[in-house]
Amino acid sequence: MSSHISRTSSKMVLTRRQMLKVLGASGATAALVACGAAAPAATATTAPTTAPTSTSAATPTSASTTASATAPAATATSAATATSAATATSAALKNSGGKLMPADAAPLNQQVYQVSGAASPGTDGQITGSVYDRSGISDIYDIPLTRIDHDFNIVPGAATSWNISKDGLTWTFKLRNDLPWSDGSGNENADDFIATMQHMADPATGYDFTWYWDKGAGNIKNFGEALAKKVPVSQVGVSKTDEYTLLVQTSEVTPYLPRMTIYYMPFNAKALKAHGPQYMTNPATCVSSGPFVVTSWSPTRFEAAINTKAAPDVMPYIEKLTAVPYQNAFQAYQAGQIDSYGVTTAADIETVINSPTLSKQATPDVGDFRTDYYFFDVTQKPYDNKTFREALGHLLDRVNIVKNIVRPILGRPAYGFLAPGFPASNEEALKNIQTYDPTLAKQLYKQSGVNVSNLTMTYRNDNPLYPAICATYADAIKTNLGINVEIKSLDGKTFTAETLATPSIPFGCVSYGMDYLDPSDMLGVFKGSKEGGRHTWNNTQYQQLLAKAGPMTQEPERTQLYQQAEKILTESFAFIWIYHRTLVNLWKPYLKGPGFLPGKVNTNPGWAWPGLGAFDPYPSSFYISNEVLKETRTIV
Amino acid sequence: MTRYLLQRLLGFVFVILVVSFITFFLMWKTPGGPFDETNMPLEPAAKANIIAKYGLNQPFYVQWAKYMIAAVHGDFGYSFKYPGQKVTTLFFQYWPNSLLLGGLAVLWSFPLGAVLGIVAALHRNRFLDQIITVFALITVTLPSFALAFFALAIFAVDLRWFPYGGWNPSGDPKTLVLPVIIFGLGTVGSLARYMRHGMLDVLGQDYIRTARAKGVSRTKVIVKHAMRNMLVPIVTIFGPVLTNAITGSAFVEEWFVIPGIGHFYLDSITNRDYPVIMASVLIIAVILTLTYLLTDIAYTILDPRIRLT
Repeated sequence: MSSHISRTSSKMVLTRRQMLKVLGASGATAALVACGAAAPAATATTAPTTAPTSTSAATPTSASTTASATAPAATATSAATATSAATATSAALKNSGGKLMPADAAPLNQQVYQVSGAASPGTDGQITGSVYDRSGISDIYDIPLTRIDHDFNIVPGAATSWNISKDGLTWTFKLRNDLPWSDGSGNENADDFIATMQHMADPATGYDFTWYWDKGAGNIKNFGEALAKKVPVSQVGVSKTDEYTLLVQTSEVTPYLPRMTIYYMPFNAKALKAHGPQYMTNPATCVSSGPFVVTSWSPTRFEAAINTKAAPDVMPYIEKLTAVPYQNAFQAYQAGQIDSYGVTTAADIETVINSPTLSKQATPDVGDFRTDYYFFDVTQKPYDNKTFREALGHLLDRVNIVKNIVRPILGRPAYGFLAPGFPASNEEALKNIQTYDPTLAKQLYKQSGVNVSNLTMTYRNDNPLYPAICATYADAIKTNLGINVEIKSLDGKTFTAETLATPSIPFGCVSYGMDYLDPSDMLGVFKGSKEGGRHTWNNTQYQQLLAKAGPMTQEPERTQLYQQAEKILTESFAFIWIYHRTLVNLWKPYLKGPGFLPGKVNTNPGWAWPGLGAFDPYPSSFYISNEVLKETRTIV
Repeated sequence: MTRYLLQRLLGFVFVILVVSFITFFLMWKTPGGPFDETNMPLEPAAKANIIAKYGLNQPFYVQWAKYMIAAVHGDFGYSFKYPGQKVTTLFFQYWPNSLLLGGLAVLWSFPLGAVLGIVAALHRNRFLDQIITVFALITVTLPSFALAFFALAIFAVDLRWFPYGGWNPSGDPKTLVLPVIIFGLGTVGSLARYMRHGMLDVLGQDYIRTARAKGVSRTKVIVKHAMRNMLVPIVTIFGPVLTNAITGSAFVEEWFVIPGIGHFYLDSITNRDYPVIMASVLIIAVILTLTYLLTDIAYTILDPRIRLT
């Protein structure tokens, strides 16, 4: 089937294959350049900011609506630095929703908040193919049941109050009756929440965040049964007594449920029925009860504008949001095309530290209490030998790693899994377990009876610091135990698939950050792969402690049980803790609002986790101050 | 000629079938899927539901056969990444941007590359030749993403002459400048080197010497005789350049945030968006095959000595 080109004189003509070789040279060069490893950063810098939060479980409570309806007062600094023209303009300025702007607000054409982020059409967790694959400006098109403030307190969202039945299995959420949908079809109500939970449990949806609501986490009654097609979705444990009273039934006592319902963001039931879950991706069908509505979407650009029909306290100051997936968001931030940026790499942090301007804009916060760790598949040799694992565990010099690679501004050494500040965190009690002690490591290696010459260490390539961390750890193992360690990198999907496979990745490096603020979430990761956890380590006592603590409401007994469980986890040496991450976000100085004020947990000014989204109350209360007039900013 | 075209057509069908089968097989073998287990593993029931929803619970060859039958009828399925969006709809949303980017890049880079190559050949081993050769080498060897990084750092971040990425041809033509230049640079270098080589080859031919000996001016010899004989190598290189322009550049589009099919393709691989990967591979394979066929036909028109058999 091949073709032949015969020519009487072909000397002068390069063949197509030769020519393609010439063209291909640039591609090969590109690949080689791309393979270059990141160099570790050199010196330490300022300390991260963390502070303890309450360790108590969320107990039934009653609270009034707290979302701010008033304009924040202009700060003295920003008012003083504003240009007179801008001040005069904004003195009695109302935005397109009719909301009175703060005195120091910039003109309306500057009220555009620009972020870098995937321009996914998924505007809510329930819509996208994956809940982790949402847009940079997702989750602001409705009001979830509860919210979390920047001190990690659970505060009202759509629910103004909630209480639990005597048997602890039924939650009653009283809903606001003043959250209009933007299409005028009525208010956000119990039917919307019911339709949403049923949609998530519907096998036809193919939802991937089901563990969150199923047994072992949210414990929503019949959620798993509906998912497995054993009962119809109508039997999932959500119902109503009236339009604004939602009942949520759980299969076991779940005292932390209001902490989880920050992610209970409702669809508009009518739009869901009429257009399917993608209704929000189309401006023509988008319906919102939150501060913004979708106005345009393309795979590389996503825009939302003010929801002029929003309730007064939900109505934002910001006129427009845009998300563009920049390849190098740090450069885009420096070019004045985005207003915030989360620093992740050692190179970026070096630039920030050395820049007088950027260092003032950097605000460390605890983020989602993420911890990076090594794990072993304890069902495989030689990792089934605990003494050998201990030998490896005592070779991780986490203090040095944080000091020289991670940099103290981006993390702190981890002695346990729960970061300081997270409920039930117990750092001091765990500090002497996984110590860095090469001498002890050598002794333990001899005692273990293990004799291996090669190991493979695999990391998930979502943290640019892993290559340097793994190289350092591998070097310590080689130097002290004489074992060669091959380092392997895998993309997220492949890594997870291989971690969950049998046999699993034998020796891996990965991280986990909270989905909800309770030890049951973080420690649930280690309940064993057969129980829905991530790893093969399976400890009966650990599981019993988690099972006992989960439904408990008494403190400090509940916290103590989780602390016992974390100690067992750490002493198992099935997991070697590396560091607790600190997020360093850069915020342009013209961003103002209550969300940017220092809190009790995150004591630096700046919008802390979870950031822009309906999970916290701040999207409606931030704005661009007239300090922007001093900046070179491009609105794209 | 007819027999040749029929042969090529059959070969074309065979190539498409093989390419699609290999792509499908590789996708099937690659770990992961159109779901995410980054934080926690999927529950078995949830995984089964997702797999069933996307029709991934059938043997891969059955999936492949079904996909190909539907594709022949113009149905490339729905994107996994963008639920509810037809692959063809997305593709035609992206493609015009790639065509514009590639078209503009070819428009300036191809003539410039050709001229530089000819100038270098005419000034062989002299200063101008050396300058052009070094320039060509740099543009060919430096990968486009590195050029994009430096261009953005200098012209968007430091000097702020151009926007940092984005794509707004009608509203802000400045968004086109950097990507069009970066995309075209590689072509300039490749073509300059290729043209220089070809021109030197032609200039050494007997008929050129004969023409000069007969008193034909140097300019006339170059324009009328040498240039005409350079058309075949130009067509040879124009085929792949055109294909490249039509199918977009993943790196340039990623860096400049251009909604083109290169961007689309790269994203689909990361996201295990199987229908998009398949559609992209098939479309690129068809374009490549057709371009090469047209190139071969063009040879026969430009040089009667070449026969297609």
